Amino acid sequence: MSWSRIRAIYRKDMRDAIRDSRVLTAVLMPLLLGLLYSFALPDEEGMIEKLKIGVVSATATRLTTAIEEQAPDNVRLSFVTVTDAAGLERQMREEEVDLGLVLPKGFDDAVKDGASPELAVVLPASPDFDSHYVVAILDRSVQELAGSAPAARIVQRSLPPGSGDATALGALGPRTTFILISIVLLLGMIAVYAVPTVLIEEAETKTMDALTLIASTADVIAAKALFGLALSVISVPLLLVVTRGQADDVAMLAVTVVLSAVVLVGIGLLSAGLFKTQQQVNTWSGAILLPLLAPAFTVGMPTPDAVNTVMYFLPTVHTFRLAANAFAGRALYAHGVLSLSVLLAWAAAVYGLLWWRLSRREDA
Amino acid sequence: MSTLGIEVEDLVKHYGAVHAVDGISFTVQEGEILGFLGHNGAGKTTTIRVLTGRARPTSGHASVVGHDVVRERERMKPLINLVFEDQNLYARLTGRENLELFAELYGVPRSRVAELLEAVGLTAAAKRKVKTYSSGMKQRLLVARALINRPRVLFLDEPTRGLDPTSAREVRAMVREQARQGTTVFLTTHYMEEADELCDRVAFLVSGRIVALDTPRELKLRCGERAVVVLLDSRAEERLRLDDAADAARLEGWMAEGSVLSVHSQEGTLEDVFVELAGRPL
Repeated sequence: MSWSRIRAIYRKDMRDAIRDSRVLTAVLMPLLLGLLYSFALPDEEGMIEKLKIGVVSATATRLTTAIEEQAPDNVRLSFVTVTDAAGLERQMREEEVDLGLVLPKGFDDAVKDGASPELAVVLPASPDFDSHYVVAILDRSVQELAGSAPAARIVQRSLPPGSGDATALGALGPRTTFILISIVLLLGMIAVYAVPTVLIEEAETKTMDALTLIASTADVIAAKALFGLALSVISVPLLLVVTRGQADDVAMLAVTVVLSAVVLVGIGLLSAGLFKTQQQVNTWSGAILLPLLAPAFTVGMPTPDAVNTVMYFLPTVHTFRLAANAFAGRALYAHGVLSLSVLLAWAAAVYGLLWWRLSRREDA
Repeated sequence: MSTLGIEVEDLVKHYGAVHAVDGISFTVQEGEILGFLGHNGAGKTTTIRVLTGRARPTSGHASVVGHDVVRERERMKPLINLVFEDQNLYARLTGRENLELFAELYGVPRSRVAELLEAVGLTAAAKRKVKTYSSGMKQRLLVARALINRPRVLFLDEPTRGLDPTSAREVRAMVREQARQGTTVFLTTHYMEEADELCDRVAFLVSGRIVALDTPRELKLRCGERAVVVLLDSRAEERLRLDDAADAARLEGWMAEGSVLSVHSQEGTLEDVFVELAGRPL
């Protein structure tokens, strides 16, 4: 192989690609999808429920603090003081507050004395789940105010990372999850559609014959691999810019993208050997793309164990897991080293197979 | 002693049961133009594929510029080039970009690109995308691309196919100029007139075998008639045998009277020879 010839062909491919509508489509489609969904879907912040509670109380109360302590992490409460019940109802009708509490004078002392004062809860005409949730935790909040011990000690425990496919969706939110899906889609489209397209075009237009008059077939294939890799490395940051995606661990994301692009481009080059015409690429590349993309699209969905087992061997599963960890800045999915190893194993297998095929071709 | 540009000895190339090339032998001197003529499937393109190192021979030996086409393929590659039968150019790139790519691949300076664009008359169109070129312009660009590395041996596979007469004439002039500069030229063509006009020697290939190899003149003499047809000012046509003393005296008499308008030799054409040897015309 000759590096100068690989570089010459690679530069030609890059120059040609920006004038090729098929390659541009392969890059722009995931970018536009990512852009669209990044605006349409809420991020993690958007998933947090915010509830504004109006409180009518003639005397100071610790009830609001007790309620806040009982509220779960994904519910953020804020309290506003309202002068009287009429004012509360008006604010609720005007949707300035979501829920109302009317406390009698000396409520906290009465609770401590065991006098069972009346606590009125004013709900909107159509109360949502969060309003009911606040009502449900009121009893526990009042007990705490009274200083009475709970009937049972409730201990919270989270499942360990990686034990559920819904982790990314839950932890990162739909917007970031869709950015991850778009990254996988982008890498897949470049590798399985754009790279075979430029390679098949060389064969169809017989420019490959002109190239191999001086360069080796291995030079041409290496240039195509470099082209796919460069396109991926340029496009993913572009996707992150347009979708405002921010990874906590940028280095990890970079390693994941590069390694995944290497593997997927290798798969794309191997798949190109199955096709003779551009029409075949158009028709069948989807059949190769689908299983590669499926793991990213099924995240958070209930899938049978057998499917999960099969998907675990696909490289894009590990692309998604590692990228999710990079975005979260922590190990949402366990066994990151194993994921990297799986990608490296794929790279070794794919390029070993390519090398073997090229050797057979050169000997023919 | 002249150097051999191409040396082929008992070359065989089979694709499964198909005997594409079936034991051909020939040599081409440096600076010589050899024409390979034959029907489609006769083995012309396969011969080029083997000689340019893009297909391995089944048996036999071939060397180009002294390099074995199999064992020394990599050393041979920079010394040869080929004008392909198809106009295999990068359509979305400009003419200049097409040549620059191959200049880089062959490791020649970029100044060669401008030189070649000028030589083939494409300087003004150099910045235009190739997809906007006419067929003749594309063919000239193909020739320019094939000359980028100043090849010692230039292969041309049907270089004027589908071209208008003017473009074909331009391409032939370029080929002739290359041979004049010492480049060995191996040309396949369907056009007998082209072979007759350009080639120092012509080989007829039939079913993978060379059935005749000689200069166009010698080949034509094989089946021509030793006679001339004389057109007189009376518009009468007289057929005279060249080996007949009486006919020679008649011609001399008409010439002395000044009544001869034209004399046409009756030698055969390459087409006649080919039909005689191959059984059907090209």
